[in-house]
Amino acid sequence: MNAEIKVEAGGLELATPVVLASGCAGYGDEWLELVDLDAVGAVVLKGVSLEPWPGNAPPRIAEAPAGVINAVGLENVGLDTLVREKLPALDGLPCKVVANVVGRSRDEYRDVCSALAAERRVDALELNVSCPNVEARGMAFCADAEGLRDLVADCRDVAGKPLWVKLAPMVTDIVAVARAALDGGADALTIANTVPAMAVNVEARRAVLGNVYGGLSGPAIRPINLRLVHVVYKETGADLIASGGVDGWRAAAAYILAGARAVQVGTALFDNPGAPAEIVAGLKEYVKREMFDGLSFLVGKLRGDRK
Amino acid sequence: MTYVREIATVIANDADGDARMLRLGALRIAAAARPFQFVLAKVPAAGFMLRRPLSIFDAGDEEIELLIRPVSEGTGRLCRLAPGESCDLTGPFGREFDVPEDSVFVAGGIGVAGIFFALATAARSGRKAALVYGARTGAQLYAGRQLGDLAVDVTSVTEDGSSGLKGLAADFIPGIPSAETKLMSRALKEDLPPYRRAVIACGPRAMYVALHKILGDDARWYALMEERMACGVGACRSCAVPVREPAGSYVAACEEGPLVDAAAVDWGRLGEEI
Repeated sequence: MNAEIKVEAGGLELATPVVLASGCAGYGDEWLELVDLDAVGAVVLKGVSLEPWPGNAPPRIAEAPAGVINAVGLENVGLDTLVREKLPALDGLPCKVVANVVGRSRDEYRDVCSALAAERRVDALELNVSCPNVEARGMAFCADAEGLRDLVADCRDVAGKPLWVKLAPMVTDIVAVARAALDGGADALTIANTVPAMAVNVEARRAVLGNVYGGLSGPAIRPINLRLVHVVYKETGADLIASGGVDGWRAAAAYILAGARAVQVGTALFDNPGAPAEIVAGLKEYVKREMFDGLSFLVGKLRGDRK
Repeated sequence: MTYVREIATVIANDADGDARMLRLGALRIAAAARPFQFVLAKVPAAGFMLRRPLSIFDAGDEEIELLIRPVSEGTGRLCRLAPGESCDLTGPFGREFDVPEDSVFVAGGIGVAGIFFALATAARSGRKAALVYGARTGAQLYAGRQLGDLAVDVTSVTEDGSSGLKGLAADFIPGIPSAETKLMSRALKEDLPPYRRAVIACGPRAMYVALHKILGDDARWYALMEERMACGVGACRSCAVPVREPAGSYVAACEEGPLVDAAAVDWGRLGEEI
């Protein structure tokens, strides 16, 4: 039914190139009644840590021009509850399941990956490497290429499944970071996480978010992440999954032409839970209209591209 | 729980003070709607990334009513929806709640939108229902006509004394010991039930703080938590309400609420008013 838009990305065969993004998609079944999961290739679960994390003080969300700033703070139920209560509920899900892993140390990432390796309902793992590393004075894991390679290699050793690494957009050299993750053994890179941001309530003279800083998502960051996807694709040719402001088929097609094999949809769900189905319908129409053999043929096929 | 997305049709949009009462044709949401539940309404304009959470003021067989105060650009746009226009809704979200038999309702200002449905459901089923309705000033006491149509005992309270009793709603809750002396002196209606009734409240943060002070920790009371929200289905964890157990943790207002047991809330860690 979806033959023309079936894709292979990061070691997974996806029925459609639409992936629900970590954080917005909960534990995979919250949206069942509003989002058509037949239009979804994979759902990336909320980031999970070894122990439960309570998350940040509210308010946790603010509307921004063409975007949303969130500071949920990776609230999650922890590994045990995920395995015991959340994963069994996903048995009937019509799409692939990707578990997203967060941590404060290399050991924590490795322990979580190792435990999830045994879970049959988890088809792949995605590492969120934007978390602060307590062993490196709180510096984000992705800020140090060498450290990132070691972290990914540790996880690769134990994961036993396809491994995706979700990069942060605000780094000095995205290609160096991407190469480090690939050297460590990543099967695909998700590009990219939210952009650090804040909002101020001028009447109250306070930051809107309880955590003051948050991460900007939505169409506001799409042109930024589009370039990152393109740069990394040109330099590495790796399997990329684009993330950032995908709210319709045109945005999805743009990312695919820039080099992504699949796209993640997150913030758009809030405004339009019908977005995944609309994107799939639009992409099918696009592939048919332009008479391509299939969507995969379009990956990185920009005309007049930089040499 | 059953959520749906429904393109509702605006049937009426009437002024109620500085707020608007929207009546919407929404078959599926109306059929599923229960007291205390809410919808997420898409702002009918480009550039708005989040739907607005709105309490279901009342629901019939095929229609729902939303009482909306234009406190921001988004709610302002919703308030300007004209009859015949459509409104993209998702919902109904939030838990149902069995209202204890002896409950007294407390509302503050536009907060009446969050509890009217429950109050009306109690009154329509022949139960004795009471509302203490407070506001800063008489102009912010909404839904006068709708409340008048119900067999409900309404005590109006305003801070400036422009309508009803003068003071705070929290000071005039029948059956609450610390309000007793004032009750006697104000000679409210006789036949007051014994104190320690359950209190169900919807209003601004300041009202909850006052209620918390007056009711103490051991009272049975429930607060409707209105938080900044994104998904409505418990996925995104944006609408965090701080709770005491486990220490430092949160529940999602859309999933555990919006009506929550006030004894469980860690009132000292609440976020700012939306």
